[in-house]
Parts: sequence; C-alpha cells; structure tokens
Amino acid sequence: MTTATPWIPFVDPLYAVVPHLSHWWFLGLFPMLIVVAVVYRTVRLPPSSSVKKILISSIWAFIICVAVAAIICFGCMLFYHVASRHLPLPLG
Amino acid sequence: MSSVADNSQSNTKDYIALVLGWLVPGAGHIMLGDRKRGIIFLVFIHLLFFAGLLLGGIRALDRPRQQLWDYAQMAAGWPSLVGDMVRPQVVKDDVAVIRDSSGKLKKLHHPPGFAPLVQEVATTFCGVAGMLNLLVLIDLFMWVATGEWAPASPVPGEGT
Repeated sequence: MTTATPWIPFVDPLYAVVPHLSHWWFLGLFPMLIVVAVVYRTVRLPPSSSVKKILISSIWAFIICVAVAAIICFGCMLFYHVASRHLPLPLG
Repeated sequence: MSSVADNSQSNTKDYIALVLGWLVPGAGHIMLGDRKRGIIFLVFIHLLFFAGLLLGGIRALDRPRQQLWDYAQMAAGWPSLVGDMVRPQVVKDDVAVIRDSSGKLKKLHHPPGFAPLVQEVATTFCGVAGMLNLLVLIDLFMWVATGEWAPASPVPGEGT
C-alpha cells in the first residue's frame, strides 16, 4: 500500500507529475543548445562587447549547432535505412 | 615596495577569483570587474543546472552509478556540492542490487520507476552546466595567468 506524498520541485522528478514527459525528451536538447551557444559566445567575445552583439553571436552559434545536428541526424537516418537493406548488419 | 605589496594583493585576489569562479559560476568574473559577462555566466549556467534538477529531481546527481557525469557536475560548484550532500538524506529507495523472482541477485542500473530518457536528459543538463563552468574557468585562468582575457574569435557576419 502506498501513500501519496506532495511533489517537491528539484527533489522529485518532473515526470512524476507529467507522466508522458519522456515522449518529449528530444525537446530538452534545444534549451541546452541555447545555453551552450550563449555561454560559449560570451566566453569567446571580448569583455567590451555589448549585450546586443553577444545575443546576435549566440543566435548564430545556435543556428549552426542545430544545422550541424540536423545534418548528422539525417546522415544517421540515411545510413540506417540503406544499411538495413543492403548490408548484413544486425540492425534489428 | 608598495608595487610588490600591490602585486601580491592582486595575485591573492586573482586566486580567490579562480576558486570563487568554480564555487559560484560567474562570480570570478564579477570579482575581477567583468560584471556583464559574469552575470551572463551566473544566470545561464545556474538556469541549466536547475533545469536539470527540475526535470530529473535530485536523482539527476547520481554519483554511485554515473561517476563520469558526477565529475562533470562537480565543475558547476555549489549546486552540485549541495545536491550531493542532500541526495542521501532524501533518496531512500535507491536499490543498486535487488533479488529477482527466482531469488538471484541482479544489479539494477536504475532504481524502480525510472524514466530513463528524461532522466538522462536531466543528468546531461547538470553535467553540461559543469562543463560550461569549466570553459568559464579557463577564460578566468587566462586572465590570471597572462593579465589579459583570452583572444576574441571572429563573429559570423562581421568583416575581417
């Protein structure tokens, strides 16, 4: 027999209150890419840079990251579809 | 003589900034006068780490089973230290080894009820926040070691 306990943020996981959160796990990559782009560009720009310059530079970096990720994912998908038909690989 | 004393004081301040920069992401830059970038690092790295904690709970910090990620998360400073101290008090149902129905001992990679995909994303968030702080610390170290910030890289769209 279990008893209900209140959900405590930062201690209990969010999927305890949102059961199908795992279906949307892929969307979690975008906020991470945004933060990586912002921090990386902020480190690489001189301290005298304006916030506007940092923002524009970060957006560029984010777009490049997403484009590269999309190309890699597309390549993996192509490889999987081609290899599963033509190569004797245990791809399931 | 006063310049020697000034030099040693500024060296001490630089080393304190290095330690503070690890402990509180962005605080090192703020201490050395680069407030704008320091506040950006402070806000974004903390945002990412706490987003990971929100998604996966305190189990996003999983030292017993994910040691490499734990090392990355430690680079984020105080959130990881506090989380690692709080976790054993809060998480009581972590079972690393269980008995299956036939009575055999079985090593469980995750405790019962885990949602692996989102949990992995949460662990990644916290680990990446730590690695970003490492990048920030390298920038801070360049200032402490050479007296200058790291050379800037070109921005796409700007002329050479």
